[in-house]
Amino acid sequence: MRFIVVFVVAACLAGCLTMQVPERFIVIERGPGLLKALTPEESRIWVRDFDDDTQASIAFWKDALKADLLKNRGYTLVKESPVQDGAGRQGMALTLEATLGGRPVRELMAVFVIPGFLSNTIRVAEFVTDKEAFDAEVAGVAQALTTLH
Amino acid sequence: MLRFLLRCVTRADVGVASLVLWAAGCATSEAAYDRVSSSPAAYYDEPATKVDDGTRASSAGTPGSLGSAADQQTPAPAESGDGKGIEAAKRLVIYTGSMALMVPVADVALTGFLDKVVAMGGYLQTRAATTVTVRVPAAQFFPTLELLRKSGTVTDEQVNATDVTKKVFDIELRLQTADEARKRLIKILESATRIEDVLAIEVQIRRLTEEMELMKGELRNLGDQIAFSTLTVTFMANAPAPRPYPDRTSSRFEWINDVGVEKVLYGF
Repeated sequence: MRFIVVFVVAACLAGCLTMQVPERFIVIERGPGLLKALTPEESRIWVRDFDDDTQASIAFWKDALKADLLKNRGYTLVKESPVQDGAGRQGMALTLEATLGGRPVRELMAVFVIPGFLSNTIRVAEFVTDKEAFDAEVAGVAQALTTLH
Repeated sequence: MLRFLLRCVTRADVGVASLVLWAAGCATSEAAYDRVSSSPAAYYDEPATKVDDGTRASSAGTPGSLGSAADQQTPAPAESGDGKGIEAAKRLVIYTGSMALMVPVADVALTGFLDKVVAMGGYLQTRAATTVTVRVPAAQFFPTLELLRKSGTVTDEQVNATDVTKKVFDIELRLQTADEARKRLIKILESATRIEDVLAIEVQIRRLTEEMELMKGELRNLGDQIAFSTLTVTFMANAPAPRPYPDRTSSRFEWINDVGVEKVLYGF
């Protein structure tokens, strides 16, 4: 029984996402391919892993995301930049804005492709909050992304 | 052997002569084409960059001729370098455009933009809230777009170019023809003795005069539009609302449907 518990904890630790979240954030949920963090004002960081059988490249996903988020949903692209995670993987980051319920909301979306044997993993880290809070927190979140494993 | 060589030389000469003739023919026809194709442009466009003092074409141009209006049109698209600008300058093009920009403070950005428009010889046409329509000298149209792109996040941009070279050419030809006809009628009028003839000729002269005034007005209007491009700019402090759900489609890539601002806000 003890062996099973140790095995499960070890497996979780091996698969769980880790990130040194910025100072004002606390991690509220962590699991395999999942991490959620919040500030007192409920600025959100949500990191998730998605399976990708197509094994498409990061360039492909960048175009696919931009096509959907900008053309289909009507978000506004504020900035686009390269980003690097804690393992040194190169990803891409989009800063988006949309006005929801009369208030401008911004998102920093970072996407990484983790190559696998039969399928890739797409890791998406999203930071979403009001525009003003975003500007105050984004530098810390960008720094935190470099510790994402 | 000699006969064979002679035959070869003769064949070669014929070939060379044919080539020379063909090349000469091509050159001649191309030159002729150039003359024909460039003649309207040359007619309208003398020094494309002659006038750039902010004087409006409608007031500067001689009535009945594009004159300085055509001279002022130098769209010189920033995109066209390497000689294409010369080709573009020969055309009479009306440029219009619109842009929506996200800027930190809309009013401040708008005021700064208007100052720059005035400094470059343009003017404000209309203003409603934070949307302005300005007229800028054609030569400043693309630089102005570039300036706007650098001053904020572009959320929408549209540029239209309408080539009116043929239209202007046609109006000027019709105007010239009408003017000649009018002059002929005036000469006939001078020698007319019967009252009926005089009245009939005067009616025709009046009709032609009215037609000519309309054509001159149209030319002035075109000249103004060519010389000054129209640009509508909307300054926004915030991004617009996303498209409502009924107007959206789902991505074929499942995971993309699970990310985005709304998903994080409402599905966290």
